[in-house]
Amino acid sequence: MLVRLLREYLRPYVGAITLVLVLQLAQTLATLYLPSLNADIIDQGVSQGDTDYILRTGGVMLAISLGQVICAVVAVYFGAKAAMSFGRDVRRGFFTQVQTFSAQEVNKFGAPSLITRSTNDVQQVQMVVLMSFTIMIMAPIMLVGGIIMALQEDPALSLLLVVVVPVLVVVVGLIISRMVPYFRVMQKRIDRINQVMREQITGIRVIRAFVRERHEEERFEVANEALFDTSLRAGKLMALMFPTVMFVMNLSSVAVMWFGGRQIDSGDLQIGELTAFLSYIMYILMAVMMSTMMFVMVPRAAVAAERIHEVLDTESSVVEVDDPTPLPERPTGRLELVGAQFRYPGAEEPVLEDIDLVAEPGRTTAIIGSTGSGKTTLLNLVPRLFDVTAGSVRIDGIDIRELSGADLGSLIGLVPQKAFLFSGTVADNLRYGNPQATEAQMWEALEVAQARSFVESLDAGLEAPVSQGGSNFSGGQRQRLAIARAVIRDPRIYLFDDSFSALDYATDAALRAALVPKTRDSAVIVVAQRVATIRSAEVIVVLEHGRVVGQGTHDDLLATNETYQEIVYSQLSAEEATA
Amino acid sequence: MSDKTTTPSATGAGAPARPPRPGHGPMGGGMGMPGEKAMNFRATLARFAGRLRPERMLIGLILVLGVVSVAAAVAGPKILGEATNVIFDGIIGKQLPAGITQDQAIQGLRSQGQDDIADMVSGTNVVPGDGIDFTLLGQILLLVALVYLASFLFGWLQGRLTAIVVQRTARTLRADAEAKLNRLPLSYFDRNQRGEILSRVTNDIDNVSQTMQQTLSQLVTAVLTVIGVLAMMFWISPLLAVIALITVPLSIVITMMIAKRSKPQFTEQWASTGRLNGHVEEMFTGHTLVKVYGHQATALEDFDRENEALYGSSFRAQAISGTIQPAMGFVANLNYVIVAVVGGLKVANGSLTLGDVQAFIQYSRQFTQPITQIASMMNLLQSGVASAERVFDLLDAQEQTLDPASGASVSPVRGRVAFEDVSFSYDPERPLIEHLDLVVEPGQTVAIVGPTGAGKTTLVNLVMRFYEVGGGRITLDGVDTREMTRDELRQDIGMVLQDTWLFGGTIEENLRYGVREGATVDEAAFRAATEATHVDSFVRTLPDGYATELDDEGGSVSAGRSSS
Repeated sequence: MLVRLLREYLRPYVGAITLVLVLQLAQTLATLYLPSLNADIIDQGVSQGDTDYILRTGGVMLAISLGQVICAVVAVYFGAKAAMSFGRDVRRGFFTQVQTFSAQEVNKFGAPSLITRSTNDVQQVQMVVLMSFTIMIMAPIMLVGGIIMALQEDPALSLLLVVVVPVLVVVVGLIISRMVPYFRVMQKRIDRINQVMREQITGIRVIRAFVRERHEEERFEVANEALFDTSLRAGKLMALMFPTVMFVMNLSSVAVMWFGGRQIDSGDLQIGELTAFLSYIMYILMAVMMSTMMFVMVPRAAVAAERIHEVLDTESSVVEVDDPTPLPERPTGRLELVGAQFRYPGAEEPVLEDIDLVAEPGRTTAIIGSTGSGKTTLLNLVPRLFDVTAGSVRIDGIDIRELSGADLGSLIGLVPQKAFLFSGTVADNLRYGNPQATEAQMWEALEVAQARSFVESLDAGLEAPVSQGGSNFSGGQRQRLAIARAVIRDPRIYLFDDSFSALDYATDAALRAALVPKTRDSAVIVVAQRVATIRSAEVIVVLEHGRVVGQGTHDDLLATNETYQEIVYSQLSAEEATA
Repeated sequence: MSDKTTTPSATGAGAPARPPRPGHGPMGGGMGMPGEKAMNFRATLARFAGRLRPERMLIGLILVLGVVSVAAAVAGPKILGEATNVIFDGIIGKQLPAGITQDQAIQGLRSQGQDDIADMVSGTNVVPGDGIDFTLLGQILLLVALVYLASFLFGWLQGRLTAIVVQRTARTLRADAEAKLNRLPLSYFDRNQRGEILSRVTNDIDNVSQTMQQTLSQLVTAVLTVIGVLAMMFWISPLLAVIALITVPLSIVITMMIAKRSKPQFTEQWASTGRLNGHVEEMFTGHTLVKVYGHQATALEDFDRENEALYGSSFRAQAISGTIQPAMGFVANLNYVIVAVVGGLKVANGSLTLGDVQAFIQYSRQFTQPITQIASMMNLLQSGVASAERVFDLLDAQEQTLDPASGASVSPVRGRVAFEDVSFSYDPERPLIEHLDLVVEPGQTVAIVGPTGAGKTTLVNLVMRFYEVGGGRITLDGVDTREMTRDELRQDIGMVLQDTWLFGGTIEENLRYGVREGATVDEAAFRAATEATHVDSFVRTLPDGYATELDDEGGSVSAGRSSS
């Protein structure tokens, strides 16, 4: 997974990476060469008292060293550029992918996990890439160099490497294979911390109202303890890595002495060669040490890469068609559900079944039913938050699955149940509905939504700030802003998902009256719990257990439909109902 | 530089507003002055060190283990050198005729005019005629192996202890952040993006602990090595030691210069991470709307802006800080040449032996290596401290007023709530409630009506003390609510909020949420409550009944049900 992620996202930076490789090679060669200059200074300079020679060679040494610095700095520059670009591109790819998701995929991963993956996980991978470019590239070069020189010096003694290297590989492999599962759990535990805390911030009013701070702290403590526990286990294993590698390498230098001594005794080896051999072993050791640093970081990055790829590889269940049918020049917004069914994957019972209904433009179609009857799900089928599992949804006779996402969206003004506002200003939120909206249009939309007066009363007016989710506005204000956001879009189809619930009756009525001229050419679909909100609708659809059990006007249904009667009489008196 | 990365919506925030605007909290204004922040480096580090206090026993132990493993690491090669000598002795001894003593051999060599070899032999423990003493060699090598084994064990132990210290500190930091959330006034949450706060608890604390893990033990080892080597150098030649020390201030100056430039970049990097996290969180939460309103392009544009800012600052941070290592390498070579030149001169005029200079050069190598290491650590620390600052920022945010130490209690509660001359406004410029008097007697149901925005919810917020009154007082059974602890007050109030919001967990867990800490509700009372709110019938239609899992925002249950 890690390799795949690297291959895909590092491709554009092959040029920079090649440059880094070349520079690091030059730099490493200089590192390997400098010791011989050191030796020259001692052997031919210091021991002879030849100051001139020392100065000359010292000058050469400094010149090379300066070159080395330049190489290294340039390498770091391009290495950092490539690594950070990699991180940026992965984050972008990730975000773009999540944007294609339908509600179903977002729910599958959960927002907290998606958030951790898009920042924390990417950070882990990015750091490994950076380390590779700046430090780790030197390791293999030194390793190869050291092995070549060791072989030149004494092939027989080099046989030791044949023993040592596999031992190292096995030991390191064993530690890593035990570490990886911990890292996998660890990222999940970070997800959990994110989740618990996010819930807490979201529900802070409820928590304080119910005095459940301590309960929440306990809940967090469990998550915190779990993360601590896993991190500690991983940390302890990690602590084993470096000393183990050092130990194996050190033991091998002891072995070199022992076997080398025997070879010297039998006259196969010179003592100078033994000393040289030992110093090459040291190079190899240093290279292995560097790689060990890498081994410590790679497992977590590998897990992170896996988690990132899991998201990148997830296909949205709502896919846009490749060659979309263009919209008619003047779409009317006639919405039709034909034998629509929706079933969650794997669920026994469908949420919706055999839904046939037509919402004509210029008319209000109300959907009513007890909680859990599938009203919201029905509404969600229209903007393709979910796709029907059978039957079809059509606008102007075109199956919405044939339309492009942008075209479909342009027809719809959705006011969701939760009047979610984005952080920014009131104007920003209105522009969400229509990016080209003028100030006059904004005020007009606010007027329709009965929000003009309270926005006017804000000091900053349209530029008044909105907190995340709109938490600095009251529920009713939020709903009206959300309605204004849909109105300013001038859509062909309005979808109101129980959007008047937080309004008082007077505001509710005024709003509906103001909507009438705005919606003359649009189909309006209203989901409501309140009978008063929908009784004037041209068509009322009664939903029960995911099926349509009645369709008609208020009076028709009141006379004939038992379910409707039940709902109405639970809210209104007989006189009110027939008034 | 951070100013240009602020979101456009934030720059539009001209006027003061009801709960102050988002984007202006620690995330907007906070990172406006990286220069100033850089000065806080030491203060933050000192404060962080203060947090390590409870771990001082373990840290002491880590230090001791560090000394031992440094000693072992230094001793290993030294003893291994002994082994070289044994082999060397063996080679020489083999070339000498057996049966004579070492002195005889030396004299013999001198008489042959081989003074050089004679000198060499006199410096060894040669037994003429004998080859390599494998018994002795074996013993020495065994000793070396044992020293390495000890070094391994101590190193491992040190690593484990470090992991414990690091993870415990991170856990405490997270717990403190969590506890802090409960003490922050609600206005803090109005002001800050959720994802931004979350990033401090996850990304920043994660970064702090990774930094600690990497620096704590290595820094200890490096410092100890420097001290040890320095002592050896002074022992051999104070003059040369002083010369070698010249490079130390140079190293410090270079490190400081680089660190000074990288620190603001690291600060910006973690601030960008927070902002990006905030944006991502908001977009993923509002995913449905983003899709339906076709705002993927705008969302991506905003994302790109933050992402680009994060890229820019992290690239600069790494590119700048990455120069420390090569620069220090150069300083090390400079040091080497200077020592060689001065040493060469001293050998020439006979004031120092060649062997001493050679040893000295070796030591100066050993000396610069840990200094380079320390320099790199200082750099890593910049990133860690930048994150620590952000965590401390959160921990330092102004809290709501303290509860009275021993709150007045009302028991049994009758439930008479009185507003006495209450005034309140979210924004001093725009009074919302002025001189309100209102009494609610027990047994009464009082409905508050008024156009939206008139302050109905505010009244409830004031009773609950989510916000504090600006003037006058609110009493419960005649006791000023400010004289009670918030918990005491809220325990006695049952509230149904406008925002229906459920916790992740099962339905039953959510329902029992309203129950006072420690109290239990028997099955009958539980059923009675669920039937009264018409919850029971629909819950029974769910496959798992009361054990049905809800997601964190009640997403899998429709809203009519979540307010029940």
